[in-house]
Amino acid sequence: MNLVKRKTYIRISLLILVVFIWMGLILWRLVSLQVYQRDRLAQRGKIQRERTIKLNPKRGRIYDRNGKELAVNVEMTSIYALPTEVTNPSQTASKLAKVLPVKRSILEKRLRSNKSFVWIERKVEPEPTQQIRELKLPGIGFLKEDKRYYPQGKLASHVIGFAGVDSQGLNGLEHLYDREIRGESGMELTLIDAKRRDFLPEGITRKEATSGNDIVVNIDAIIQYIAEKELAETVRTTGAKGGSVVIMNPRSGEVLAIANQPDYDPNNFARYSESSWRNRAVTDIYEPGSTFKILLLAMALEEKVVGLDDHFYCGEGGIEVAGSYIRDHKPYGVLSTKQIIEYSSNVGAIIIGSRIGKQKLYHHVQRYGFGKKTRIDLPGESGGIVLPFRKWSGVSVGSISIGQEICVTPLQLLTIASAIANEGYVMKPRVVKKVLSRRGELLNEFSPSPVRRIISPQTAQQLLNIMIAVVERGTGTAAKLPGYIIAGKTGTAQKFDPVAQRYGPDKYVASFIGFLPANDPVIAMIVVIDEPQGSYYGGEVAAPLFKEIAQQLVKYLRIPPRQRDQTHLVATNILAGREREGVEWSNSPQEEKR
Amino acid sequence: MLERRLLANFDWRLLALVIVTAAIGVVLVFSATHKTAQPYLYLTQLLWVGIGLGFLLLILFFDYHFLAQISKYIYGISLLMLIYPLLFGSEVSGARRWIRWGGFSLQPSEVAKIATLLLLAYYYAEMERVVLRFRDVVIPGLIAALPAVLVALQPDLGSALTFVAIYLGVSFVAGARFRAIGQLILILLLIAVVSWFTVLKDYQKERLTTFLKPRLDPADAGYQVRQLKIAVGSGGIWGKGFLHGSQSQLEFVPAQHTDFIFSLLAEEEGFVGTVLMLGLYLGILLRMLKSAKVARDPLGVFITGGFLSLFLFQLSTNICMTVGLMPTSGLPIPLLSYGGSYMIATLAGVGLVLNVRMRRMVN
Repeated sequence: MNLVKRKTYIRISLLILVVFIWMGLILWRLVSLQVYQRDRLAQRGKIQRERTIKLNPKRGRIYDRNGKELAVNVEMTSIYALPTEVTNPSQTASKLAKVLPVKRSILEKRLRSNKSFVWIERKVEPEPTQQIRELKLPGIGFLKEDKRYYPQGKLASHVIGFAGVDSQGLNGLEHLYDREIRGESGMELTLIDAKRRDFLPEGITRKEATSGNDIVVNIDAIIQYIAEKELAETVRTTGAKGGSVVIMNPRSGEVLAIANQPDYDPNNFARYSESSWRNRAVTDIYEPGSTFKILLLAMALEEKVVGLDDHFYCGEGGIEVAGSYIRDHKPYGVLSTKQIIEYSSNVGAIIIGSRIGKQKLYHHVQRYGFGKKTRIDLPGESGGIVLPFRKWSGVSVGSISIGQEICVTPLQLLTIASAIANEGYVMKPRVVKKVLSRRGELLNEFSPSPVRRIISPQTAQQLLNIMIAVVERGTGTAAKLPGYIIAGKTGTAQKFDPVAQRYGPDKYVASFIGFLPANDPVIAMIVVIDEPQGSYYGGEVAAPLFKEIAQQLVKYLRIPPRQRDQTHLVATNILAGREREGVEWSNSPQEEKR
Repeated sequence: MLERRLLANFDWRLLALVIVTAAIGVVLVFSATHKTAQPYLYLTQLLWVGIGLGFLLLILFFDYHFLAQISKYIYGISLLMLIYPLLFGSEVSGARRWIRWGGFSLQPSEVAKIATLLLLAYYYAEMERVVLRFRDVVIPGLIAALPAVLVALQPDLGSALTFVAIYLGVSFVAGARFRAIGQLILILLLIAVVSWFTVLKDYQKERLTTFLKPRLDPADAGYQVRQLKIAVGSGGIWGKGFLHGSQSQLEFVPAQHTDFIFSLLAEEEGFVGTVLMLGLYLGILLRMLKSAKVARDPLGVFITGGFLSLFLFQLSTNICMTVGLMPTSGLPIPLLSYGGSYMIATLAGVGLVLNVRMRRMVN
């Protein structure tokens, strides 16, 4: 018995040992899991139980200067599927395919996806949505989403740009001011349980989305409409490749219209070629040709190398410059400085240019802002091209004098030339007028800002007078508008063929730049027609378009025709006048369309 | 009647540790179920603890020698009870484990465990041998194998293995030679290998393979193992707080009020909680070991040692499963897991240990 007792004693002690070894093992494991791996495992738990739902902000709206809606949001329904809950993918797919413009096979592939959430179709119109709702398909859900809508269609599409399906600004102001317009997305943190049901205990984090700010642009929808309509008409009748019209207030730099051809509808931007999205007036460069001569004269007058009444012999109808022969339209004989501009004599311009001289010409071209961006608030701006001085050849002075061998954008040339209508000051061109909060509070207003003074007021007035003469009796008579004084300058430039590395014989850019009314300009406008077929002179292609637009503008802006002594009454700021008449921008825009 | 003499040797400390542990179990069951469709389960558990303590008290009135003598009848009845659900029971998630009677259901395997334990202890005590050779452990082997096979047929592999644990435990304490135990383990391994290719169901094999290669199928079978690890580990040192165990409350951890209630404790009370809980269990185990050491006769030692083995086996397998050291096989943890039959059987077993202890000085 004693032996038995001793033996069991040993065995029990062994059991105690087993207990302690096991306890030690468990403790070691618990230390490993609960002490060393605790953060990693806690993180893994957090990932599988927390789901963040992004709350999309309302995108800010875009209005024209008179409060007309250019970009708004409409609420659409996005349809999604939870593939695990779809009972019959092939049947569901064929039912959906009858209503939605998506192929059955694609739908079925999405429904059979091994993701927990897939989009079936984003931003669907109310009617098909209702049809799908009535099908009561298991695993198919609906979500309200805002879709960007451009109520004016193609109007100002190059300026506004467009936003993509996830409300991201992709082009134009939508892109450049995206941070302002987009707002801040909010987020909601939900807990989900093992069966993927939402589980919302108290104290769940929720951060509301902040709506984006609204933007008011300087663009006037009516002016924009007129410009677009007439430009499209001219491009159509001349068979041109494209064209641009930019209309500005020369005093303030406010951009009133930017029209381009070809254009597109931002509501369906994907259906148009990407080249039609381009805001050519800002992104595309061309050689300005004769329109540049007016600025050449500005330099010459400022440098006092020519007088207004100087006379030049331009008789032979051509001039040799460093081995090249540059022609005039016809031999002019002796021309005064004024007449050189009026008739747009190349020979005369080259003589003036050579009087300024290579060094000073380069200096002024730089100083005026050629080859530099205007820093307009639009994306993709090109600064044009001015060759660096060391690359100037013997022909450069002559070429630049007639507006070749130098590249500008329509907007850039208009911005610089507008100094003539603004006592010599170049203003910074501006598209956006002000930024408002969703509730209509003014957050930011952009006042006119002068960039530099390039000429004296006296020179500006002299140049304006010469430009009036161009329209009255020179190359720009087609722009003449009865009852109004218009200052202008035509341009016809040969296009450089980059493939052939020479100026093509039949490719021209016809342009016209002008101010209205000339005695106190409120409108500065440039018209550029790219590769018109048939007649290609600026005076024959661009000047009539200028006139067409100007004619409608004076009516719309109620610019009174010139009568005896009242000329100077017109000089009041027409746009300010409009505001006094109560067409003023209202701080409480209409509620967005639902 | 209970004499004062018996009370003098009563192990109050063991009873107190057991009651405290069971009470913690009730609280944990509350935490695990208060947001589910059955938020009242903690009350039911409280009822089971009450009934279990009643059984414990009842057992104390009879001398364990008497209980050992009638153990063959209890054993016989329990075998019949095991056969009953196999013939007439209705299937619950693929197994026939329950005898339903009115509103109550009884798990006969729990009765059989206690009966088998008593009968084995009685058999070895009657044999009166100091050293047990291999042939001496064959008949006890059959005694344990009979209910084990019936339970395995339900099928309930985890419980079947429990009988093996009882058998090895009692045999070890009764003095089986190490060589005999070695031979036994070899035989058991042989049975295991044979049954792998014949009897084992696919889901059982899957559980074993997942444990060995948890990344094999992270979406399905490895799910339990991974969720348990996350639950235990994310509890950290101090825990997420009572009722705040997101892993368990959001039902990522399966069977959180029954088999994996220890993971809930680990998540909500952290490392501190698990260590304190292990301390309680260590206390219970050491009290029982003490009882085994001081028992009056071999029968007392064998009963106590056998129950100790059973308790330790269930406790260790459950915790090892929970912390990812063993494949999950559906074994509850003593005194904490929800379950009537199991709670009553465990408390009855504790009653047996207390019975042996309090009668150590009689005669």
